Amino acid sequence: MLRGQVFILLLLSLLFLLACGKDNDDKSSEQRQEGQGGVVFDTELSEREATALSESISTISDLPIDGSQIRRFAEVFGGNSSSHVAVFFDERVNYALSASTELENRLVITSTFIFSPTNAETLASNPSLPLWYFAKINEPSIVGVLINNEQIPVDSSRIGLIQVGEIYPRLDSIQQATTLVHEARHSDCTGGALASDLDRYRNGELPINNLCGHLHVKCPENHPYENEYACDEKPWGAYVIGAMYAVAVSQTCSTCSGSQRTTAEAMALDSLSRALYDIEDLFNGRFGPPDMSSSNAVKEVR
Amino acid sequence: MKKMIYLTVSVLLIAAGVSWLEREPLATKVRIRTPEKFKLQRQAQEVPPQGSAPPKETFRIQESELREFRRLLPLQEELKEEVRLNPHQTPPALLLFAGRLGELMDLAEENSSDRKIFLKELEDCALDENAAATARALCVSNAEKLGHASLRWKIPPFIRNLVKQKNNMLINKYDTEH
Repeated sequence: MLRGQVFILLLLSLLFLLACGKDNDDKSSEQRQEGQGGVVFDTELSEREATALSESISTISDLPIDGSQIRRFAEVFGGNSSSHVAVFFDERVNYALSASTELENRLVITSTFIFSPTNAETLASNPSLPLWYFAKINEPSIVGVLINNEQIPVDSSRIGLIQVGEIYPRLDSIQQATTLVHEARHSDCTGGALASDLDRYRNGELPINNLCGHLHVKCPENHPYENEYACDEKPWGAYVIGAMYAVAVSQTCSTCSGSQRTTAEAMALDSLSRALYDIEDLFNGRFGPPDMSSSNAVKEVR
Repeated sequence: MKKMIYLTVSVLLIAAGVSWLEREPLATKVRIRTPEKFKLQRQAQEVPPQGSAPPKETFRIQESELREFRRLLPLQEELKEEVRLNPHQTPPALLLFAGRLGELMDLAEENSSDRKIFLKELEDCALDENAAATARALCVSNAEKLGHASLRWKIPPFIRNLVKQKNNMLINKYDTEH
């Protein structure tokens, strides 16, 4: 009989919790909308995706790293601490979408151009640049993206959209954070866009100006990733930026486990293997200081 | 309306639960199966009696862990396939290997016997021509952390260069090659 009484008590408690739960669900849904660190979380994000994103964004801002040990870290991130990396990220990423979100369905002006969907193996992607190109070719119409019932105008590549991949929530926070820092760089249209690239985009062709969006190029013959669009041709691209952060974590993170530090080191080595220019020359200034700016200008090629 | 539904369901559950709990419990055998997964096991250190011979070497890294480590070493073709499916991110097989390497490095750094054993594994990894280039670079880099300075000269230039590039990002570890 005692067991029965305990069971009744537990179920009554559950009843009250459920009765109040609707309000709590609303709150957690609102909190999910609010996001983390200035990034608005779209409501289509699952609980798991939102939790993963929150943790990784917190990792970016809270991980105790020392950028003063990494060459040019302050030039890239504006300072040597995690708070500077957080600002770098915040300037470039504003919205987070679920892996299951079909971006073309969120456009206010629909188009036949299909954005590449995230596949099962994707960690995360940044469609900010193709979205901005799409907006440019539809001018003078204004293109927006619906996020949490709000129409966000696409007026630059710094709209900063990140779409998490299906496996993103399964990674640890260090891997997630390093991925986010890499993806954030893709929001920079350094030096502005080329008018001819907008024409190429309109025709479904790849752009030639890889600096705008820091786009990846095909890895050359004899490269470990030969023929895959997995390399960087231009200096200070997303792979090197991500590598710098990963090296800072692997070498200076005082709260990371051996496993986390070595994983970060592996990410750094893999990223460096994809840079098609001499890293030593890069850090010695041969290619100039890192240009972390982004421009909305569209230049004609003469 | 929703609250009424919760109430009704709860009442039914209460009734079912009470009648179930009041039955005679059946004797059951519960068998807990430990999942097969990679575990780090630690041997108890032997404490020698006072005035006796120096303690025997103790190894905390187990042979099973080293077999697992070798099994996780990714081949170049494996990474290439993962990159083909997802060109932009670090291949998962490399991350998994790196995680295990890091766990074993923690042990190797604390114990000279483990260090010796694990250095041998890192050397084998670095010299394995079938292994992925970045995995080999990772092995070389960690072998150097354990004091093996000459391994770099036994590996191909591409891999040597990767390690050098990574080190040259550090202000205090400027890497010069003869």
